[in-house]
Amino acid sequence: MKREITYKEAISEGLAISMRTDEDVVILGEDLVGGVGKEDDSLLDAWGGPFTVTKGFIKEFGPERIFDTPISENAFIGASIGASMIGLRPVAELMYGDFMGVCFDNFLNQAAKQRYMFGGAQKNPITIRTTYGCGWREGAHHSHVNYSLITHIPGWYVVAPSTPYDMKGCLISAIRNDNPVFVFEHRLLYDKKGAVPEGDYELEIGKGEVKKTGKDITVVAIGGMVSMAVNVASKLENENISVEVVDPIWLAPLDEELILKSVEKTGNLLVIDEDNPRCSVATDIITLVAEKGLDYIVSKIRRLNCPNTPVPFSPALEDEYMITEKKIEEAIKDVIK
Amino acid sequence: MKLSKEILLDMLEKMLLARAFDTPLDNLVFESKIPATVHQCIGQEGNIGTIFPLNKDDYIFTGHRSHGLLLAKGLDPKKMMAEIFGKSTGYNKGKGGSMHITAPEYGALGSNGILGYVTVLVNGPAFYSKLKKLKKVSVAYFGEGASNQGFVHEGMNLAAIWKLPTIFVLENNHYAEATAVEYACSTQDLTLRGKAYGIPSYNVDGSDILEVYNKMQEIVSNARNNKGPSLLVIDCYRYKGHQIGEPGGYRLEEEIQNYKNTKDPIIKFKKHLISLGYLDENKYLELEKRAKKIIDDAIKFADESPYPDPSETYTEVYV
Repeated sequence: MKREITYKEAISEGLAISMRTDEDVVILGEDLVGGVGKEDDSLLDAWGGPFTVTKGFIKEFGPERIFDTPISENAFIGASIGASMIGLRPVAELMYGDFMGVCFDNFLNQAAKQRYMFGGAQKNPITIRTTYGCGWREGAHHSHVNYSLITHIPGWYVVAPSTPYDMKGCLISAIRNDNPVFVFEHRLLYDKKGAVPEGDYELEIGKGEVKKTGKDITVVAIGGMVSMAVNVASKLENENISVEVVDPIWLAPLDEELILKSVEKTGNLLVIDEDNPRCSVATDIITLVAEKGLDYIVSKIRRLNCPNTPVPFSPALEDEYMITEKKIEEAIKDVIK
Repeated sequence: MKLSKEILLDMLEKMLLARAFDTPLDNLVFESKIPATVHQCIGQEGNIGTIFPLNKDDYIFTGHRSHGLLLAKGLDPKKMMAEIFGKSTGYNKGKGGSMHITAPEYGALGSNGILGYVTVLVNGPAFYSKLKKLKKVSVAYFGEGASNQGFVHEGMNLAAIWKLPTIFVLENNHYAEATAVEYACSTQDLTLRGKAYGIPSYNVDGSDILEVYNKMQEIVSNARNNKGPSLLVIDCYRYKGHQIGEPGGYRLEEEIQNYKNTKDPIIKFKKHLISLGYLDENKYLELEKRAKKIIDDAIKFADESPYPDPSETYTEVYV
């Protein structure tokens, strides 16, 4: 029987393997250890990360590999970028994707532009890990899905894995790559289990995967939306609707060929993206197909995003805001009717 | 610390080179040889004193008024000028321009257009140096205007709690674009911005390169010996505008003249060297001529260099 671990455990394994195999990999972030700064070390590892991803790391790797930082995202991400210029491979944890607002210059003007504007004289092998996804009843500052903002910026690789297997392999690839990579981890997937090999493996950057084959419609789903799309696809088999679920895995670079090939086969397209609709990855994928694959389309092209509003708090409102399997099913039927 | 005649004359030559480099830029911009505006450091040459205590492999992060600092760090004037011209022979193949001249081989890890940001970036190499016990220091240069950005608070605090070999050099040239320091900074004692984080902080007179050098020497030695970060505030003045072609009008001409007449860092240093018997008027003119020749050659090199091939637009986005 194949070993199954959670998405969260896959992140921990990917991080630990990366740190064991390369001593230049260090990790920085808020409360990655917890309990630091006291007179004795007995309280260390109090948290092991806000979501316990790095529990036990201080014991294995010691205080010269894992660093708790002040609530200063500019400072520790800026230092990570600076250290990456001269040989370190820092992995910085931005607790919530929403927090990129306080340190956006790191992402907009620095990590991604330095190599280019210095004429190739510099590289920034830095990895940013962050969480995203609504449905936690945490309101507008701890739930916003915003990977489109990073995907927009040339110079970043962006990945939003949907399974524990993809998560571990992509994270290891990200950390070992010489470019800045942004890893988006879906909070609602943290406890989901899947088959994951124990050892060290990398997954190819920019390579997506068909998660379920079908012939009537291509559903491109991103991150947390993939398993929902697969569930709906399985259900619709009973109604003789054959859905192909394509997971790009990487938002940058985007596996354009995989998407176009699938659309060529099915003739229909729905893109499911938990981000807000304007200038979203869904919009981008729709444009790709409009420009390069319009001849393949027999019915219509559609995207399913969260609404063009901030994420509301009240369960009554957030449930309305979120993409559900019911909404996905309706959207599929709308495209192929 | 007593400096040799050779080092003192080298300091003067670097100051003259900085001025010779920035002086012809106005015309080159007006003639469109340089495709956009440039920020000159004329009047601030005393700040070069901060470079002399550094080793070639110590790290510096600079802003966009940094030609003099970069030349003093050892960068080639030809490749700097070519970069400003947007030519393929520039340090960054013409992709960076005046505001982003970068040469890691000289420890010049990046000139930044986001001026306060260097105060967080600087901690990276300092952190690396401390982690790997390299005994290298990392220096961030920023102005009093940039000191009002939030980065500075975060960067100073992190450098202080991790006791990093980081040196913050605040070049207070009194104006952030067209806004006076008296208006924009809540305190005129800018050392308080470092002291607030428990960082040893000092004020020096930028018109006296030796005062700048001596304090920097002490600070660098402390940083190298694991005594943590420091802040050096240099009181200085730029004769030129924020950038070439700016409308001006935010300060009186007599203020500029007064600085030129009483606080010019080159003239003051020249007088000092003459008083030591290391220099006379003829020797000075000779040094001035030599600096001008180096820059004339640099301009010629930049002018005759090819532009990058348009295909370069698409390269070096990723490794």
